Amino acid sequence: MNLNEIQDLIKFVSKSGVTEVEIEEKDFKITIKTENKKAKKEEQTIYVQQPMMQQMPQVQQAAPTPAPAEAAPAPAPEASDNYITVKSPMIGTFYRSPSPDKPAFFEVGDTIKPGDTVCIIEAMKLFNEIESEVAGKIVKVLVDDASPVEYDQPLFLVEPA
Amino acid sequence: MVKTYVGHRIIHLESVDSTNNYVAKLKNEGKISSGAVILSDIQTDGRGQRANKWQSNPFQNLTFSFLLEPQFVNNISSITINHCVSLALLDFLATFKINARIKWPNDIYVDKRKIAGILIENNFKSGSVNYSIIGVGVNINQTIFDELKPTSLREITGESVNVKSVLFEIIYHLNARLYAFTNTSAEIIKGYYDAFLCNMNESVSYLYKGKSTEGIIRGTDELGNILIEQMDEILTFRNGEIKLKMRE
Repeated sequence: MNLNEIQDLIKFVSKSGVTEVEIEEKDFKITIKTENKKAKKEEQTIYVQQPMMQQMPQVQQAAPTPAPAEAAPAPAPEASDNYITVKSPMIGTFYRSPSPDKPAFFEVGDTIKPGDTVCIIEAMKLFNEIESEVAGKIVKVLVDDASPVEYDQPLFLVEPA
Repeated sequence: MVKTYVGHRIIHLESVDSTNNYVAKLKNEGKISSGAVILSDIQTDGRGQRANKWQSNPFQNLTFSFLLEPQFVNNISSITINHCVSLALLDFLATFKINARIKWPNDIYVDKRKIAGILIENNFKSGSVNYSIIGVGVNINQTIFDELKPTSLREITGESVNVKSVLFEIIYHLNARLYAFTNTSAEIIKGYYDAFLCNMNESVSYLYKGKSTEGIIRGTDELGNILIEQMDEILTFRNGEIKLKMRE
């Protein structure tokens, strides 16, 4: 990187309002620190203008809203017939692989341990990787790939290790 | 002063399969913390919504991802992250006097053409979000597209823009919107998001269970579902349940 490029970089960083940034490129690393002056000046952030004729949000109503479903406690794995049932923590679409052209996270017979990703549940274009909380062997997948699932719906049966 | 939630560290790669995947990898290796940004000139396997490949020519567009751990932003929910990122992109485009809108749930359109997209992946642990990876793609200097008809900053303004400069400007707006959330509430942020939805308070036609129907878009609920008014009744739909047709 030449001097001009570094000068540009400094200019760009100052636009970000970030006071200290560490930038890593292929062959070098640079840390740029800026003074707070700029950040102070831009305290009155300019947001896009609210379109006219729209319902304005009621600013007085500052009560915190309950966090969406994701904050709900995970349904506890349930043991039945010596198997643990792993259930869906949310409503969404169930996927067995990280992307359509990739192999499934696991197949029946595979062993999983806590922290392993077992599936993805997509809700509102948010892709939620679901990690296992149990160790064991997958004995059955109860839902077809790419099909909708409900909250608490059983997804797999696991034989505990 | 606006806090730095995003952008204290930027890792610029020449080429990577997907910046979202790379963030996940570094996070799993314990090498990055909340707010780290990965930017790549080339994405060989960039993704839009599952299976939809993001069409991006090398060096012409901005594709980056960042890590956000909710506990560092007042336990922000993924729905509110989506609202803040969408609004930050509109704020950025507004600096070019571009009136963009949000096509529910998280594409950014100028008129009827897509200029930016967002892909959020959550790592879910014990019933709550452990961390989120937010991927952002913005068409900057690309002017030739195949098939679909997206648009780009250059196509609208007629001028080419430095991609890295855009990254830092967007980081500024991201921090501003996340900071606004910590000062107000998710409800207020949602109100702003709703106000900028494509066809808000307008009649649209949409496909539901294979049938074409008409209704008026009335915003979204706290779970991100879209609200459509039909015969004085408000109906709620999840993403994927309906296909909205943009109004001509």
